[in-house]
Amino acid sequence: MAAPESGDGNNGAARMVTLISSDNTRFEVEAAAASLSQTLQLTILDGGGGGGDGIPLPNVDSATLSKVLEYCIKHAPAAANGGAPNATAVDRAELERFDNEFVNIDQSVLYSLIMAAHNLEIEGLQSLVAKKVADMIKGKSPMEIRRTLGFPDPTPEEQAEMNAHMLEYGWAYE
Amino acid sequence: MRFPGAMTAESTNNKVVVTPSSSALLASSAVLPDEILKAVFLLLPVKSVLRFRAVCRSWAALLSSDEFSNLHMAAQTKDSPTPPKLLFVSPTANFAATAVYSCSLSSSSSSPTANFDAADQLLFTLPYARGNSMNVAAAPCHGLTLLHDATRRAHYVCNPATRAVTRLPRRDALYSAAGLGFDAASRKHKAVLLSQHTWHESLFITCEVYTLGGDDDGDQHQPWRPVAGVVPAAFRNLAHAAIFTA
Repeated sequence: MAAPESGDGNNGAARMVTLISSDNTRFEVEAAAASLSQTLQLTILDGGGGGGDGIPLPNVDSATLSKVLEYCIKHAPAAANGGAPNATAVDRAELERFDNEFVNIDQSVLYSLIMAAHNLEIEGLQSLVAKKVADMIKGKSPMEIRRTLGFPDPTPEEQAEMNAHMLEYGWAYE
Repeated sequence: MRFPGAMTAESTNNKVVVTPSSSALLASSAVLPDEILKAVFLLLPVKSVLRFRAVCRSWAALLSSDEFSNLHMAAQTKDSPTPPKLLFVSPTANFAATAVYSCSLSSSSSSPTANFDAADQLLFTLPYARGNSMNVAAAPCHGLTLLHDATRRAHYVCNPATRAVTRLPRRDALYSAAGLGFDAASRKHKAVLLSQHTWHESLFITCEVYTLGGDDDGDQHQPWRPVAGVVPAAFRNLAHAAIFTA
């Protein structure tokens, strides 16, 4: 996958494109996999990214891009089948296992991944990371959320509002 | 934070400008753009959404907006179709109050008894409602359910998802029937009440409407509003049947 300066896009039958990360690493990847990105899709469709050209991705560093492409390569065959209506249960289970494993990562890596999925508009990856974040925060208390996000401590007035809310919706805090 | 310059292959030689905002975002790993935050909120269970309204005022505004509620409802039903739930009422021990429970019908839980964790299912209790005369109206309407206390002749409207419950202003009539409707244009629920009255030994039927959440002019506590005075003669039999089969 990470093959700096390798080949000219004639690798076998599948068309290859080159993506260039913000730190100038070149990634050669099948066009079908890169096309999971809505942002890149049209460029690739118009024949961009082939040969020595490469598509620069100034907002994605190489560590993140390699992770993103790992996802794209895994999901490209299913996506080519149009959401894989005829995929076997085994295939689907395998993708699900891959997805769960895939987002089982450090928070800073997850954050870069969220931003990359957003910038590259990779729909499946966007939902996957959004679901992961939702799972991470859904059990937290408002105070824990504030601390996680680095909000300043609540003013006495805000604190009073938070307490009143907790009284009113006690069951939501259990 | 898009990079349109990367959309065409010819732009390879363009100098790429990383905007200060994007590098700031990358530096602080805690701040997610609103767009992503909204996508995350849509995936949260109702319980978390309610709780997160207390995080700060901007979250409160976002998570309380009608726009968000509608999107959230759509997202929740689309991605993981919620299994139907049973809503049931039960008198409390001394019959002075009514407890309203919800119960999952799904058998996905490992043991059948796990579904009967009473503490989890108790939605709320209605302290003044006579426990032995409560009815759940036949069909829930757009998320809300109508409850009727036949003894006290009181109607309650509840939202089982948020556990909010409100008592409608009382109308005195010996026989009445009520139902809920949803006005898609104003996005408001309305309760409709048919009641039969006696006046100088003659019977007549009235129809009244109550708008939940106030009228369009923002009046929160407006009373029941008569629809067209007396129900026209042509509909009287129908209305009569509706009242006595309710």
